[in-house]
Amino acid sequence: MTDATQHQLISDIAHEVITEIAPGELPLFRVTSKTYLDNLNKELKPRKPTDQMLGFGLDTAITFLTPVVLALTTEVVKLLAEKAKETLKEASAELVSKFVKAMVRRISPTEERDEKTPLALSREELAQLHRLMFETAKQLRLPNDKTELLVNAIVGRLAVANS
Amino acid sequence: MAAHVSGGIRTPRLNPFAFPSDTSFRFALLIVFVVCGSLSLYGELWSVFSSDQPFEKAWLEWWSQWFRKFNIHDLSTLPDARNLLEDLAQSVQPFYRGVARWKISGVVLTLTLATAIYWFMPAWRIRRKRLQPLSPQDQPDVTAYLEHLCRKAGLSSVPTFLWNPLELVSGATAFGRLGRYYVSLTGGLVATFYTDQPAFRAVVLHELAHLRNADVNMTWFTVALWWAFVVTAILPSVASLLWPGANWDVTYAMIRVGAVSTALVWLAGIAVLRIREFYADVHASVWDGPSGGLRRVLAALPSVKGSRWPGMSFHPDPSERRQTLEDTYRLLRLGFWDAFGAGLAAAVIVKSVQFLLMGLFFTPELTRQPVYLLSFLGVVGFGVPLFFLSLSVGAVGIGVWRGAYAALVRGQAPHEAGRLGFALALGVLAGELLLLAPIPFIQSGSTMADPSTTAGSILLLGSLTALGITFLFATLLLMFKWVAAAASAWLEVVLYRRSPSPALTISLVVASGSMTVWTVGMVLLISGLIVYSVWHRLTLPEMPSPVAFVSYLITVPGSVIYVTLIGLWGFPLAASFWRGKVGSEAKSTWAFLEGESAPLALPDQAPMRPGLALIIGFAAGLLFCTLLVLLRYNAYIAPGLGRLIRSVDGLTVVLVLNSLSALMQASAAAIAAAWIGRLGALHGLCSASVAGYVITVGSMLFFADYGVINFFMVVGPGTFLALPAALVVSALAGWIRRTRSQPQAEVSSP
Repeated sequence: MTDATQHQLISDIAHEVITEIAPGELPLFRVTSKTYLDNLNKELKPRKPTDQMLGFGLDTAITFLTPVVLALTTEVVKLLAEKAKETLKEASAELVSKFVKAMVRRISPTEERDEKTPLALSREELAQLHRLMFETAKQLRLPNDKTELLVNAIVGRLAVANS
Repeated sequence: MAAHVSGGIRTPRLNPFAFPSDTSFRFALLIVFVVCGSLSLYGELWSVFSSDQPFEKAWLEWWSQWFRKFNIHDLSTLPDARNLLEDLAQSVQPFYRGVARWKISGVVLTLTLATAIYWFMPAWRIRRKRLQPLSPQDQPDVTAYLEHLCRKAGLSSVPTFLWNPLELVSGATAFGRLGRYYVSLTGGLVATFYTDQPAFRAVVLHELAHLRNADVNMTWFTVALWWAFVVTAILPSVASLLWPGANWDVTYAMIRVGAVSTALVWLAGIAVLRIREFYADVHASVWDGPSGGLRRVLAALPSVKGSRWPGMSFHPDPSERRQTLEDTYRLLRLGFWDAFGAGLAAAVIVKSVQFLLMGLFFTPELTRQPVYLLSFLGVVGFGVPLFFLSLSVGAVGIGVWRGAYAALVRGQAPHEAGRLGFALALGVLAGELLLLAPIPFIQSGSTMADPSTTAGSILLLGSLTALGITFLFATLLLMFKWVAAAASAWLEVVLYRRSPSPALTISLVVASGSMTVWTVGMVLLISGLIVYSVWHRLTLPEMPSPVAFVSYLITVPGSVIYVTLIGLWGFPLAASFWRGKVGSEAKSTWAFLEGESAPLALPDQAPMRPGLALIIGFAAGLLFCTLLVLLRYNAYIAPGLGRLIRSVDGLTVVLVLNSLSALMQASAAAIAAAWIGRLGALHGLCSASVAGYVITVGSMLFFADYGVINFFMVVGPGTFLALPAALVVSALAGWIRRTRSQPQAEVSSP
């Protein structure tokens, strides 16, 4: 799975989530996602209260969700890509990409699917993803209510196995 | 947001921007504390690393030698002053010079590093915060709105707007360096442009207000000073304690100086950062208008009172900020601790400058040139303290003037002056105590053979110190009362002028100048009295007659003080000449934030009556002249009196006349002070001065042949009596008036 494909996937999923939960931020989405993806190797840092000592005030409440959604989506896509690589050890990057897209329901029903590959996360994998996203959100000091909202919105887009 | 409620009446918000701000005042204090802290710590560092004997030991040795030679009960044992000073210069000069070099190097290092940090901090901040330009291509609507806000704020040049799209919280910061300013916005704030534009507008206007208030350089230089002080002064001091040469004395001194300096630098810096927020809020609120989002945004900020160290917060509590928005009176009153800090700063900088001057210029060669030596000692001993005390009086005087003006406009009596005078004096005293390192004078006493000599020295030192402290408190208290009185006198005039600055500036110049001259006069008087009291113990050729000496003593300092009193009564009373030119329908263009257009309803104040004061003074003078005529032509009127006058010498006649004239001037002062309700003491001084002029003319006309009679011989002694008479009678009359008016008010109130 190439970086460009991965970036596009992150951006697309995040855009959908933002459209659903914070449509007011959409005018900033393009610039924010570009900046985020250009600096993907740099960690998104939570704001420390001391950083604000010369700003307007001790405002620590997170008001901008787009970067958080991008960060959580990145974790999801990375995890799915790893799972796909493990499953398809000898597969091409294109196939891995296809596999991941399938897991996040990015393949349209008309597209050809490989019936032999599992296209859904197991319950355990889903729980692991949940934990990962909550940890990321906690590191960014996102309040619990907002974390739940974001996690549910992202998880809702994943294909989950029935068993 | 446009008004506060006072006594049930809504009055417009006072404009704090018409006066110098507390931000500049506190920044000046910070600079003083950093410079003096650095000087002190580098002095201690010298003690650690120097191989020479400690500086204090050199002093102690000199004092001990001096006391061995000198017996306080026999002043003839006092060594020749020049030899004494030459010995001192030779003993301590090498140490003074060595320490002075270290100190100067330390300060240069601290300030250089601070300047470098300040200069490069914007670039470093842009890089560290990953800030990028907010481009019109990406966010055309946001950038257009920001330009609109810059125009609204009246900025002469538009700052560069930067942002970090990945910053989650809502915030903004104005930063930069001289001539190059930025406003950084977080992604969170830019998002609020689309979701909550009033909040976006309020936060951006607040940051633009920092640029408009010109506090950005002060703010970032404050941060730079903190870092530079830590790196160049604190860290080397802490590290030096590990040095093998650092004994307990040095360690104790280092810890004491380090702790005090750090605390002062830290507190002064925090004071700068906090006060500027109030001013920015107020300016932003004017542009934002009453329906803007500023109050709502402030209300949403978390309180700092719940934090572990609320007093150490870089921001004032949001509730305080909201209260100040409603009632800007708080920005016009100077705080107790600000005045205290000014006193402290004055004390520490005086000691530092005196030390450096001694280190650089007090050489054995200087002690061999009496004129230069005396000038130098005068500058170091009196010039430096008076200069810095005058500056601190001027700085605190601004607060007193502002506070008095604001109280009067709100219909209240100004009552801050005494409190601030007390705080300033207390600060000076605290500074002296903080700097009270091992006193060589006292320590050396323990090495002396005669304990009574030590006791006598300490008693003398203690008495002079107590006298000095009393003088300091009384002078500052009275001086600030005068500043408040000047503000009161000029209130009705300055309100309708374009700006209060001319009246404020003249008030402060008169106050500082008067305090300086007054102090010189009192020092002349007290030192003269001390010299005269020990004259007979000294091996001086001839002792002047007591009458002549006391007369001289009273005349010279009295005349010096008299000159200051002209300014002290002349300036406030002059306001009544301008007041008549102001129409009753005049409007103030600067007094209120919202540009109040209706004529002001100022509180009723009793009128000033300089005319009456002049008449009283003139009448007292004429009365005395009548007495002069009676005395002069006594042979025709009272032959017995004529014989009495002829039986005594001319000098006695002059002294008696001068005493009587002083009494007459004091009486004129007392009458005017009792009669005139408003600024009675100043009217009293005016009357006394006028009486003095008339008496001088009369004396020169009728008694010129009895010796040297001049203006200063008349007004000098008169001043000494008139000043306390005017103050006491005015206070007494005020108290009686208040006591009388209270029962009437109680009767008239339902």
